Amino acid sequence: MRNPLKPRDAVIMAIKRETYDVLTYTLVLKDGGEFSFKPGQFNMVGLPGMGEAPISISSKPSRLPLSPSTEPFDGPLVLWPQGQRAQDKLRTSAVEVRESFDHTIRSVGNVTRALANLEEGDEVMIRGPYGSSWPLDEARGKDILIVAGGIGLAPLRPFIFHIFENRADFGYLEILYGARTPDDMLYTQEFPQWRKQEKVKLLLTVDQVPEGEAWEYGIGVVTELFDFVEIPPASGIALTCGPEIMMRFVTMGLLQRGFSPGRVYLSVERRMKCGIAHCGHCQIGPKYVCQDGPVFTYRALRGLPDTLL
Amino acid sequence: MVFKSPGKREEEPKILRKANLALWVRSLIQDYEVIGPIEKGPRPEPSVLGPEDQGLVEGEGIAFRPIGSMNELALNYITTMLSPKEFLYPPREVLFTFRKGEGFTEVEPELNRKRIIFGVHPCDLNAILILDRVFLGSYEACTELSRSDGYYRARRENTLLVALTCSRVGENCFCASMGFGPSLEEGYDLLLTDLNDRYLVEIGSISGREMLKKAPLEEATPQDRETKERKLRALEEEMSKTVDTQDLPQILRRNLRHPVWARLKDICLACANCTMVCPTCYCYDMVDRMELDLEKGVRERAWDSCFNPEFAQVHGGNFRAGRDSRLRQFVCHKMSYWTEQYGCFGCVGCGRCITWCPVGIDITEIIREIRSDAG
Repeated sequence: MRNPLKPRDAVIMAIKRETYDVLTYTLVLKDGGEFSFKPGQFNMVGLPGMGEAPISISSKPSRLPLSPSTEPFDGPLVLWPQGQRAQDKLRTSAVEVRESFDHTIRSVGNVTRALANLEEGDEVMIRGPYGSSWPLDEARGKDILIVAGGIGLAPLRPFIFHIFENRADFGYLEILYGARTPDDMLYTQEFPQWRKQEKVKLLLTVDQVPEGEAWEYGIGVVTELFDFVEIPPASGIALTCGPEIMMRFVTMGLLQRGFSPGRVYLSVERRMKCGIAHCGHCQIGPKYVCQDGPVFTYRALRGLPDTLL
Repeated sequence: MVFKSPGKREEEPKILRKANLALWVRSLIQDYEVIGPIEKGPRPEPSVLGPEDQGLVEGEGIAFRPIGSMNELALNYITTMLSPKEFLYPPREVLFTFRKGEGFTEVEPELNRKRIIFGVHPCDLNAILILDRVFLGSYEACTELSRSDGYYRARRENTLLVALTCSRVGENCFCASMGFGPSLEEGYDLLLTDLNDRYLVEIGSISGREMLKKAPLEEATPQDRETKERKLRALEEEMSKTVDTQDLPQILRRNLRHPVWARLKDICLACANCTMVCPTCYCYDMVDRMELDLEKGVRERAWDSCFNPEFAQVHGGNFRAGRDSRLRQFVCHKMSYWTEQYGCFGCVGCGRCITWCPVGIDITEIIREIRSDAG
């Protein structure tokens, strides 16, 4: 029976702690089958007994192969094979070189809290990838403004790496990243590398800084960084992901500054059970977030009910 | 690609005398599993019922069930509480079993014999065609890989549909408004129409013709066909509930803040009855159930409802926390969004959501109210 609900086993090759409640898991499919995705897409990540949750893929799309000679630039330093347990898990298979991909997961729900208890070498279940991607083609040749909040940077990371890898294809890249506190920021160890890339500006802000903690960047909501944006709206394209209320103000601010509704891309979150436009949960008006989205233009979402946008 | 459903009439209609129905149904029961409308139990005494209860009791008493003989068939029924949807898409089913460290094993639907759903009214048959669009993947945005639900497809491909033109109109029927009845143009393997002492039998597929192998048939006359047309016209005229579908999707989209939603918020109980009896509602929840040994378990799915408070809940918020937004989702999905998603309305006008609403909310009245204000 051809069954899109059947998940595939994946082995956790590495776990990297990003923040106190966010971990990045590097996964390899146990069946050795292909896994390719576009920046912005997500997987249903599950655990038998716990169920599944939609989680965006946070690694660069072309991380191939994972082998002893390769140190993935984007994220956890995975040496092949790392750890005896993960090694044992995969030794049974004849496939030696595999694609790996990352999920950066904040433990807030049943599934994600259970995932947080896993160790390298453990297995999870994967279905996907699903959904629309960031506008790879439309963004070509344009300046790109990325506005992310908290865990919302995770689905944007593949696109950021896509730009780095195809640097000549894109114009200026400005990344505005806000989080609640400095301790809630993802990928901070990579930021020096990001900043070394050509034509990149990375601006950070937090809502508050715990007492006694050093912080040399902005304090305030992410839209306060708009004053430092240099990309002219006419040549730019904006991508945003974060809490929906944040995206509301980001979108309003971008429109005020002259971005057109068709040039503002948002990645939205909804409850999902299937990922294939069957279970009905993720609908916003006539849109299925799992298949039409999660990446939409603001033009596509404007006027739809039951959003904060 | 849409599921290849049986098409329009392939050949001239036939006549089956009612006296021969039992014989034919018996032969079907030998060759197929036959599901049909049966009287579930004794009806309450008429003395305890007011006249307004009649339709309700009829619906409560009749259900689609496997039948053992023609005598059980209650072909004169008006409607059932649940449509035959449950035989293609069960209210609850185990999708996988799993055991710690061993992964998932599919539980394929048990399909021993070819199944006939007998006596399906046009609205319910059209509802099945609509579910085909949902589960067999005409949804355009889906990639090829994810287009069809294996469980639904397995049952659907094993199912033949014998449709039955209605004999009576229920008080909440409005299929004519939605264009999903009382006539039926496609999707059936056989279509029966009661013409008093005989059935007009229209053949919609090769499987339909196959089913008639053991039926003593006669050729239908032009009068027989005329009788059917008259009957259809009479049914249509008798239907008191109506919905004006002209530009309805756009009108609803323009009226998402209409006061009707706020007013009904305090009336609607969000009990989900409407979505449970709706023949086109397809939403489901998936749940893992572990056994007490924590070693093995099952992944199950069950019908879900957009009226359940957690339906649109994510970490940090609920996108449809209010009952107004949930009722609006139900109504606007059926009558507006659906047309954009699947190219047809998601309401077939069966009237079940009206019949089974404990507080008397009537989808046709909601639409009338919005339309009257929309001008």
